[in-house]
Amino acid sequence: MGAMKGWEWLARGLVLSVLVGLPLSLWAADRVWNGSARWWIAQIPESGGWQPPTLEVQAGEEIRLRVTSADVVHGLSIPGLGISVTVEPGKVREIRLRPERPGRYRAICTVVCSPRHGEMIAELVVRPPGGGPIPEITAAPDGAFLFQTYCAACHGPQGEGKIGPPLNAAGRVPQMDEATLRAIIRQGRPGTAMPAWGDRLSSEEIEALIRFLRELSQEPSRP
Amino acid sequence: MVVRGMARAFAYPRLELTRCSLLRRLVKHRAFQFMLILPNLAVFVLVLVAAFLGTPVGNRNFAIIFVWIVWWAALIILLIPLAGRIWCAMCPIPAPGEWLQRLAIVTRRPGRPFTLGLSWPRALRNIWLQNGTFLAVALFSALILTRPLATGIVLALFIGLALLLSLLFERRVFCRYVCPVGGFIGLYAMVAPLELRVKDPQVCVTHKEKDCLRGNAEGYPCPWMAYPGNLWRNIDCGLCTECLKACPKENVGIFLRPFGQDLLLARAPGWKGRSLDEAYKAFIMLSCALIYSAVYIGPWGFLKEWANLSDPAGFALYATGFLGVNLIGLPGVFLIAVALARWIARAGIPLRRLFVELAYALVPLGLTGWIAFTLSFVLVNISYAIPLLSDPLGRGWDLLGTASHPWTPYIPELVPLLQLPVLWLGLVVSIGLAFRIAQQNLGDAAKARRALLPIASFMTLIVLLFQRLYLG
Repeated sequence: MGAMKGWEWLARGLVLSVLVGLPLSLWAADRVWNGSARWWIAQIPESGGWQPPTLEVQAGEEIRLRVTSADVVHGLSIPGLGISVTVEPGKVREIRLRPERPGRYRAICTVVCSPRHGEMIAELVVRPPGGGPIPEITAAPDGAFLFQTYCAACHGPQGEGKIGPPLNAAGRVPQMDEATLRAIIRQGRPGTAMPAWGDRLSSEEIEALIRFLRELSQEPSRP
Repeated sequence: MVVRGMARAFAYPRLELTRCSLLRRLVKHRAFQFMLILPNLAVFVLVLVAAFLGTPVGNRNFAIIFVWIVWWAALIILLIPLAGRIWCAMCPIPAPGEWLQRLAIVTRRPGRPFTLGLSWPRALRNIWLQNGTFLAVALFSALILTRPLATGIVLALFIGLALLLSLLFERRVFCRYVCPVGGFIGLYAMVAPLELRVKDPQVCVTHKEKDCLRGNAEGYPCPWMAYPGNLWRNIDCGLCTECLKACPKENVGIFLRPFGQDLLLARAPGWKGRSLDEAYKAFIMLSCALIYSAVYIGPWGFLKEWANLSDPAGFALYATGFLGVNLIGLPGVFLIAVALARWIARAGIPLRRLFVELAYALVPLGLTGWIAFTLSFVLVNISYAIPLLSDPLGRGWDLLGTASHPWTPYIPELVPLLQLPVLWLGLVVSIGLAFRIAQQNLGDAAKARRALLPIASFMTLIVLLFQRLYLG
């Protein structure tokens, strides 16, 4: 009977270890592997888009940004920080960055992931070290980077056309005036997959994009 | 060691494994079942944590891969065919409820159990409820099998229900009458070559104390509410070994026997005979194996979309078809085959009786159908388990250095070569069993042979359907 009591206490200890100790061990393992890492989980807009929609960090702080996809292949691009990576479902991609300039940086998806792909937008807010207002970023936008970020998924990396029409010399851009291009970029093309970018790109960004499209459409077509 | 024909019910050769003193000491030890449950409880906790807190991506989550690929394959390919209800002995789901009921984990605590101790309603003392719970889970399988959260919710519901029922009712009513998994394990366990039985039924007849039923200082009364003296089929026994511990006559043992003996049993003392609820379990399992093969392996992507609830109208159609095939379609076609068999054999036995009796012949075919279906995905997908050993929650860990192990399908080209012999083996065994059952019911071999024609045709048609789905 005494031996059985010993077994009973051992069993209780083991059950407690499993019910409490195991979850605690998993938590501890996660602390070791992920520590202070910040997470961005991509899922199609129909399921909620980027989670969380906004990440806040301090300027000058070194960040381990871990990005994963909960559904399909996505791409993460933060044009203002020169970041562009592919995010595969269930795989964790780590990006190390130290944003020095305070501001609001737009993060978008660069892979056409759903019919509402254009809504895959999040924001990385870099706060000034001592607090205070977050300044607007005033650097001149880079049209080539914007094209790769927003347009290349549908129109091809060289503008050669994919699910969207070509935007190189073979396409209709050379025949379009700037007002038409601006209107298409701002309002999209109703009835097609071309989304309206007016509420996501600033006027300066749209102008930079138009300048880049002009250059692209004057170059001889590349295979 | 071979004990032949102890009584009419054991008219087959048996090899008592528990004559090995080491094994006997082990199974008689009060911690035996706990030692089986504990590792599974640990895995179960990990599954729940992964399901609720891990990545929602199925193939990167421990809950999905280890439950629906590793555990399922082990259960259907190894555990059930070789050891019957052994999983029920080690299942962690009813354990917390049972420990709470006993207020002990290992020891035999005397006194009243911690439960209201209600008796399970007589009308539900069958496996109809298990048929229903299985259909409910199976209907949403496309969700449950791919989404960790859905798997977690279902498993949490199981454990919650088992706990609740153990507080309300006596013993393990969840396992015996409710568990959707226990229902089909019991059915297919009748094929297994392993049984827990009394050595000599005559000893039980003359033993008045019935310690196995009432319990004693060594063991609890049978949690499955079975009386080992009248235990003839694996479907009624959860292999918990309490009776083996309690029996003062040392009259209970674990035996090896030829496959499928329980299915040959026509009548036995204390057993009401083959029944419609179990017959329907055989139909449901066979139908589900066919439907799953069509949905998950067949070329009809829209079926998978419907099953996946991507379109409510599509899912409504799928649900209607799914339940229709399970409850009416397949049993209906089988009923026609049985009516033909009855007419050809000019048998006087009622159609309903013959329908129920012959349905048991579908058990081997159903089991091999499930094994074939499982083979179709286990070898292709088992490699997903390797990175999960290092990163069970899909949180970017690399505990064992295997996190980046790529998906590697193993011998996919050989899968059909494994599936076909399994299916045809099931067909041959089922036809043989149908003949034996027909003979039991129709009296002579000539009638049974005539009756076999439509039944064997039905079975062959099923195998050809499986074959079409697997080979394209």
